[in-house]
Amino acid sequence: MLIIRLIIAVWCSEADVPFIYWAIPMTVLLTVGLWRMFVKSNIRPVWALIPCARDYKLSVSANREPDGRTLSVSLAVYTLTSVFGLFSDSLSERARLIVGVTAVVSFLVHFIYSIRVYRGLIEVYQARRRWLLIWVFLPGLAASIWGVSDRFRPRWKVEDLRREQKATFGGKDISPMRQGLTVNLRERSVTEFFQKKILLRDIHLSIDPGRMVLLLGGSGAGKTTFLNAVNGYEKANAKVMLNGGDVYGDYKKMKYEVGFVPQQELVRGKDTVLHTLMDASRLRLPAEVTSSVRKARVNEVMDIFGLAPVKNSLVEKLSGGQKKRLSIAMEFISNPSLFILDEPDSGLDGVMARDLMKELRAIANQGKIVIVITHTPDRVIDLFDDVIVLAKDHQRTGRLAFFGPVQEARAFFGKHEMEQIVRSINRPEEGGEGHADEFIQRFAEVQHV
Amino acid sequence: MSENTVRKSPARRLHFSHRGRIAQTGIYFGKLCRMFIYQSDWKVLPMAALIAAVVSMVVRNTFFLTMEGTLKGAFALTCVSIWNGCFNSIQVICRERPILKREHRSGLHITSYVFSHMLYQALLCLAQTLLTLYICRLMKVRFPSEGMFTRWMMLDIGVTVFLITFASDMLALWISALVRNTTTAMTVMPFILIFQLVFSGGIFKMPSWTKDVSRLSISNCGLKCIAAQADYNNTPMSSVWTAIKRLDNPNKDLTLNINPGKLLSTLQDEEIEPIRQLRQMPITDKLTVNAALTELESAVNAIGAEHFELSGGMPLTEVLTSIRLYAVSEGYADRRIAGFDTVGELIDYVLSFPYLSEKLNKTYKVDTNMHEIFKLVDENRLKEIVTDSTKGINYSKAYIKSEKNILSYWENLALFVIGFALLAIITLEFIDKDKR
Repeated sequence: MLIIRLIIAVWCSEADVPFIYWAIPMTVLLTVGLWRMFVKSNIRPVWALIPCARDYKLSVSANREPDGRTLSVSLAVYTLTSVFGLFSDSLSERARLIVGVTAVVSFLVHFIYSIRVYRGLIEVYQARRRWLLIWVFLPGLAASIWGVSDRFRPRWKVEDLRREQKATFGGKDISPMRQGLTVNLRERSVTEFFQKKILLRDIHLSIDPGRMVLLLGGSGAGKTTFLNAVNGYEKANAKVMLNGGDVYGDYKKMKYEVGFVPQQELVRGKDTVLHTLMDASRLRLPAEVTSSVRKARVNEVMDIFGLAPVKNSLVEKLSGGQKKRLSIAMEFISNPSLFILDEPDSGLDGVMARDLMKELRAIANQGKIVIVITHTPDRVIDLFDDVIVLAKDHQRTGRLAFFGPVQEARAFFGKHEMEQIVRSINRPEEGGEGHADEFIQRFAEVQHV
Repeated sequence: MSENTVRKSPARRLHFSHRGRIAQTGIYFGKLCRMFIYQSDWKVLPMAALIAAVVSMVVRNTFFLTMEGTLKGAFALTCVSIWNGCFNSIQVICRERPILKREHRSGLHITSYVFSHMLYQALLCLAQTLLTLYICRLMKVRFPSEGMFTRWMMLDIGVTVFLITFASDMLALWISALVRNTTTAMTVMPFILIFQLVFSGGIFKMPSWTKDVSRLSISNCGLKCIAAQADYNNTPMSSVWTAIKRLDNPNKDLTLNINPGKLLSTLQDEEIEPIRQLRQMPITDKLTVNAALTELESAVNAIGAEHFELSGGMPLTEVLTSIRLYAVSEGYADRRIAGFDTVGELIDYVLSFPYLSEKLNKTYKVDTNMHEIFKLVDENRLKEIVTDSTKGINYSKAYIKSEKNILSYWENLALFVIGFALLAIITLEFIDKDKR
């Protein structure tokens, strides 16, 4: 929108026509057009009257909310610098330089982000791409046509995301067990651009020691967020108890009780396997552990994960499977009670993935809790005891759709395969059946009973 | 799974303490030392040597010898140090940011991580400094013999070079902690270098309001420190003599407008010591007009002005010969120049004589060239005079060679090191906020 104002301003000054003669009709056209478009997108039309805010709302209606933040901020900055620019004669050289550079940068940022938002609008309104040029150079015209004409209708409305909350029962807190893991997660939320977004809500469960648990859920259901909340790395409004210890309250000590293996092999490629594990042991094992005990533990872990033959090799020279094992071994070295793995089998073939899962099963058999996220659960489901199913509800908040033994999960969802369960809770636009809310409600009631 | 895994009760395990910051610093320092070999970090050393060789080749003839050469040399040495420092660490954190995040959640203290980097980078900077100085010596850069703090000036300058390199290293470490990936780091890097280059303060003239910004640049502090150590204020300015010498050209024709009357008038000023001495020189009784003309001719020949053409195309020697002929024909040739005891009296008489005064106060054009003019004066003596008179012509308080001044620069550079390291720690403390 700025670019056309700039062109007109230059033309007006050349033609000796007051800029206001053009600015007023253009602004009126834009405001009227946006008012109508906001009505179509179920956004309060009054936002069309507020500069900067209307740019943000336009980007929300274009499903480009993150771009809208930059767009509105850059416009606000540009407007501010333009106001300063009116008094440029009275500004010092330093101030003029700062104002000038800020104006140029904010103008460029606004230009780029406005293109992003207009592209989003074109996708949402399923219009032809040539409209992009009209939006960039004559936004008032484009907005008024799109607003007034019935030919232009948005594919989805903002209301879809912000519907009134249904009064769903979310379960209640579970009493912590003396042994094992108890999670009472009431809410995990983030605040972005003055808006609170709830990522997870009402997840209450307890896992006995020695259980191997599968964590299932569609894309964006909050699996990794849940695991980060459980191990205390990203704290939520929750109470997490592990073997009688409060993970949040005593995080500095408890974090050594939790081993978290990330999805990627986050290991330095230019170090040897032995040195990597020795450093991990010095970092993770208590300071009182003697050097000989530490070395013995490193050798033991290398034997468990089949890394002894490559102990003097550089990590970058290892195969994908060996790197995964090394990544797991680094966490296992401190002998944690709770072992969490985020897609440990990604990038591995079926045989290697199953071998790895068998090793995790053996770890669970030692009395530890092992929680695993995997996107190919059916080939290893026989190794798991329990399954946690997370699903996005109608507000796109991650909720607990099921927790219990694998067999009960099959009965609860009426599906034999785990992948079918995921499909049943996924949204239709994700290729799923869209039964998430139904299962969330049912499980909450079952859990309450 | 082996059966001999020792499983302690969780309650007991919580009483164990894990390794503290100092121990973790040791662990990571060891890791970085291994990386030096495996990650090819050692390549920064030959690179430093190569840069030092190229730069010393350019500055060796004038560094520490002339004002301009000293400033250029100080600027070049500062740039080399900043370049070395920045490239040592610009990628070290951002290239392993996800790994660091993982290790941080496993109990790694950010302070230990940054301290281990500081230790490792300090050693790397020290090695680069030694290499740079060694190469400078090999390239025959003439360092002053005596230092202010140590026995050798080279060592004093080495401390400054080390501090500049280390401060730049910490600046780049902070940038590396700030950005998310190596591509961004390498994009930001040129801006940092240009900022340091422009705000160094020695080479480019900046508006006065940028002084505060300049103080935030390592280059400004480093350049001033090296220039002060090199005694910039007391080194001669070579550009004045170079400009004068460039005029010494036989092809450079020159027309001088000479007014003998004005020249003689200047010989009346007895305030000037050499003129006063000249005026007091006695004139012998036996000096005749002819003898005086002969002395004048030999003086003209001595200064090589015999071919000087006066207006009308007549050479100076011919003018003198004409005067001699006129004197002979009029019977004045053997007449003694009497009544004057000193040269001063003669000059005053000549200027007071209306007929002569009228002739002498005319302007005569003399066609010559610059080379002829240079032949009139002693070049070495002139160079000496110019060199002596340009010492301290650009005197600046910032370049005073004093222990206090240099120590204050060292303190500032050390503050840069500590400041940037602290910024790196503060920045990395927020690593958990990284988007997944």
